[in-house]
Amino acid sequence: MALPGQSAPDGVPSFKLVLVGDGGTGKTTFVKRHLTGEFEKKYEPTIGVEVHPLDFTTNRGKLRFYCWDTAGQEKFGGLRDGYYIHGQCAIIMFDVTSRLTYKNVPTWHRDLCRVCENIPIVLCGNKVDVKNRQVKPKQVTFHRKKNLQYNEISAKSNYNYEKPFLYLARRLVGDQNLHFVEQVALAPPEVQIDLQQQAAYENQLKEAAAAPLPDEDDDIAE
Amino acid sequence: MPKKRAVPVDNAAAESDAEQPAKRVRKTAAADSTKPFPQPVSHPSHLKVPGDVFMLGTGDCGQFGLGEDVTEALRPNPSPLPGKKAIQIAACGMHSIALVEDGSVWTTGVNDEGALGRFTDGQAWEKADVSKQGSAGDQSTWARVSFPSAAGRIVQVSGGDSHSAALDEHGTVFAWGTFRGDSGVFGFAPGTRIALLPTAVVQPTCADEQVVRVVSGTDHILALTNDGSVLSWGSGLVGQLGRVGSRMQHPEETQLTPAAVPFKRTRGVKASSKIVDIAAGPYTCFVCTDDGHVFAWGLNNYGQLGFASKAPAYAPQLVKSLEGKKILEVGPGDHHTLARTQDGQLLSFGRPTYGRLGRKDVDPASDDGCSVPASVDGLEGQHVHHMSAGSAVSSCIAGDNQDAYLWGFGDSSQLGKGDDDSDELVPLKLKETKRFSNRKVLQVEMGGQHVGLLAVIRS
Repeated sequence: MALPGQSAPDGVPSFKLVLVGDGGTGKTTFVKRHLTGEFEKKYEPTIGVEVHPLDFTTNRGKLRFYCWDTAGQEKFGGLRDGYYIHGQCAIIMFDVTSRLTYKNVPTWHRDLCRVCENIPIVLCGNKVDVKNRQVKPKQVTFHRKKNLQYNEISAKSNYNYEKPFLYLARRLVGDQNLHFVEQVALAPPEVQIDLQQQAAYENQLKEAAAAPLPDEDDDIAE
Repeated sequence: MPKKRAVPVDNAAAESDAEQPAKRVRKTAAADSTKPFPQPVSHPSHLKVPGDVFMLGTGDCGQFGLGEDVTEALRPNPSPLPGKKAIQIAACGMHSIALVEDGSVWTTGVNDEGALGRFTDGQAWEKADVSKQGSAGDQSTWARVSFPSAAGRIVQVSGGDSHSAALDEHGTVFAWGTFRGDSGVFGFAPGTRIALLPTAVVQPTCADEQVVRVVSGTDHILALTNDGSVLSWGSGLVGQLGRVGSRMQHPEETQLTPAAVPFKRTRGVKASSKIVDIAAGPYTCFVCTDDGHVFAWGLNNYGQLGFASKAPAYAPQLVKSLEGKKILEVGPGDHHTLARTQDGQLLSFGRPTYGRLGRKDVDPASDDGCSVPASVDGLEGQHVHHMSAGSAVSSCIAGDNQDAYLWGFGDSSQLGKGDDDSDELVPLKLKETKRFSNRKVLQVEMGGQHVGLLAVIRS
């Protein structure tokens, strides 16, 4: 959903994307990487939100996400329904270097699902550029229980920037073969990521995804 | 000498504007701090009965102390401390603390910002310190925390998201970890970003200054002293410190240095009223006086302070909606609050979503806060002994059998219902299992995604 004064060019499908997560997880850094979106963003003071129009070009034409970024009132949880309402897809962000930001992922998820039923959601672990991050891939289990996409990203290095958008676009368009055909103009990377190390993590993630979730015996007394 | 600050202090009004920089607690002379006090501190909140630790809920970050492969406990799962019984369990944001009967303190869980008070594997930022201190331990199993040699026996522990605290018998508060602010780590103390090991942060110089109780919010700590003063420190973004105003130019030093919360003289509250208990919610604070008044401050976005305004309170205010209810103890959660009366009744108020209030008179599908306290349903006739609220969940111990009851948000499996992770709108008695049978519950504590229980075999 666009704000007044924002509109997608004729014929371009657009989707409201809700971005949530604890303070300090890098949500604003992430959304600002997209240069045309940053240029055309609009601020809505009554809801306390900045809406960035993020354009992507796919093999089936252009599409636009109106990405809703809070102006910080998420710090203590409890974004009001006006922020979520009419959301068509969402990204929940946490910081892989501080798992305290993973604590509230289940409540962010429920708050989203309460207002926007059955929308595609990506869980993003940000800041994977930081060396010796603490989250081991097998420890991130929430997305598996709730059937969410999980992507590790690094907003500062642009690593995997397009991944969450591609997943959401495929789900929204209903075409698993959809792909982006043009590079999005992104702000230049501020840090470099150790690609070899990250590839090892991605492999562990794949292995973890293939392994069954631990299934505990239900030892209820007879 | 800091002034005695019982509530309310005569002529306190003149100096108690919360916008004023709070008085610093006097720096302690090194010579005094080693002098032991004749009387070990005591407070009814110090737990003494040894029990077994059980964990429940989600523990994929090592919060259970059962190793990194035990990521969830759909029913209470024993989490033994090596050969020892615990007298207190603190289930914190993403870590756990156990106080053991011999006075030792054990921790497990997330150590990304130093909350465990000990060195663990994989920490990037203190490699140098680890080599000085010898080997690093595991984050997902219980291990002991070492205190400075001057520390006495530990009598109480508490923890928030990234910090932990311990109170010793001399009334000294040790803390470690850090406090987070709106954009990550805010700091531990002026000039210290993160404290990896226990550090004395409040050192009394006389009996009046001895701390008798310490409690933790998400990113702040409250301490109650012998003379009824309340010290606060940490992150004061939304009024949690009760002495830092809404304009955000308060320096780090003001927030991170323990200082007394000023109380204004309040109509209807006797000058002789004394604070006897304190409670910290994630972003809120409550104090109870010996004559049944409750004062509160901090985040109130869903009426969780009991004030209809929904605006944060930056200084202590009398909770009028709890007047006359003889409140003994308050148990605050993220957006809701539980309160226990002298006659064992349990009240709740704040955000109702997902059933955390346990009240049939409030629509759990609504996201509007209810600032008016009323009784929790489903506990009729049962005396409530203890309660704890988490982010969107609630718990209590009730009845002659001391059973645990849980209700609210089910997604993190904190309600102990096995594979069923649905919400519970009224208190649900925790079921017995083979591993958790014939148990009297001493303590139930709600953490970020897990629950810590302390229980003994019923005699």
